[in-house]
Amino acid sequence: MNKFGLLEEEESLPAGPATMAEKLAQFPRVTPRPAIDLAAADAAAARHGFTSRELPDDGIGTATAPHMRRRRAVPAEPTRHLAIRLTANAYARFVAYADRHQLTYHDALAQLLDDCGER
Amino acid sequence: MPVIAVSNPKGGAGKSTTTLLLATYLAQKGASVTVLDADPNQPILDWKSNGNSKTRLTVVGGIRENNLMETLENQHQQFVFIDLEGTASLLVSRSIAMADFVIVPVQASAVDVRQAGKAIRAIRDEEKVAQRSNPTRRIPFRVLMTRTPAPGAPVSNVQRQLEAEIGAAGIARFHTSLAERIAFKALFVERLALDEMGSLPVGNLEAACENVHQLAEELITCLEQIEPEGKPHE
Repeated sequence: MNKFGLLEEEESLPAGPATMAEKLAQFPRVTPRPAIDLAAADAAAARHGFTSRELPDDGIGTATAPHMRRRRAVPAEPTRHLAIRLTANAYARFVAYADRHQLTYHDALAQLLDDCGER
Repeated sequence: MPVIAVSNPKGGAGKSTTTLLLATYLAQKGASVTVLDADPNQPILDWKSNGNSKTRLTVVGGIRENNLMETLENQHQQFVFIDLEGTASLLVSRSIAMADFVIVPVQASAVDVRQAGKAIRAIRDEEKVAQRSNPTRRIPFRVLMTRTPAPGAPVSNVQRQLEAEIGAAGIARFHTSLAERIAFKALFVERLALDEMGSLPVGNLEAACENVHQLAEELITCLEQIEPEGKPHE
């Protein structure tokens, strides 16, 4: 459109706003992500309360096998009751440990204390 | 190019609704779009698998901490949304670390905003971590107000205060908000995209579509601005 000769040859009227489809066409496809430093990323997130909510593969579903655990023996010394609430992940690790060593939970706890030198 | 994580550790903030609205809108406008459904309830996978929508949208479920990166590597669409669970988990933080852009939906409630603050602090820290190996790496984000009153309806004092505080804190947010609309709720009931519900009694569908159009326009403008800096990923 240059009806009155006012526009230079290379000039043209400004293009209208791009449609959404035109805008979207400008976006290339997703390219593979570079690997991230997971340990550093997880540590940064942990400071804000972001922790794993997933059970390990050898967690509750596969590790609990009550028949593997030693039968509960009545200890000779007086006992006390301890009820604790664990994260699902810690729970799964503890139960897997007890199962792996065929320990009752109280024996497993005592064993862990012994192993870390706690008296 | 963009991988867009939709995150707020608070449940019910509107993450899945936001994801589905934007993903279906972009897909219907001709873009190739994948949604990684990282919510354990798999609402978007259910929408796709059990619904009859004709929208060309790929949905991948079963996303876990240990397969997130591998799943992302296998995506070759233009847009990948990650709909995240409403908890502060490593799956969420890793998704943020891998994203090009993060949308943080919040309702006008103090609980939502406080939890959103947790996500925002995590985004900033993940950005710092990423910048150790790539100084130009950025993880831009925008807060999105959801379930707000429809235009013209009274706005609560709580919402005004929250918006003022978000502004005073210098936190970027979408100018568009997602209003409380019957059509948005109907998405997961009818398992259709918005513009496929024309014959259903879902309130003011035209206004709902316009709302999503405005949000998508704003999102695309944000993504266009960050795209040149998205090169550090390559």
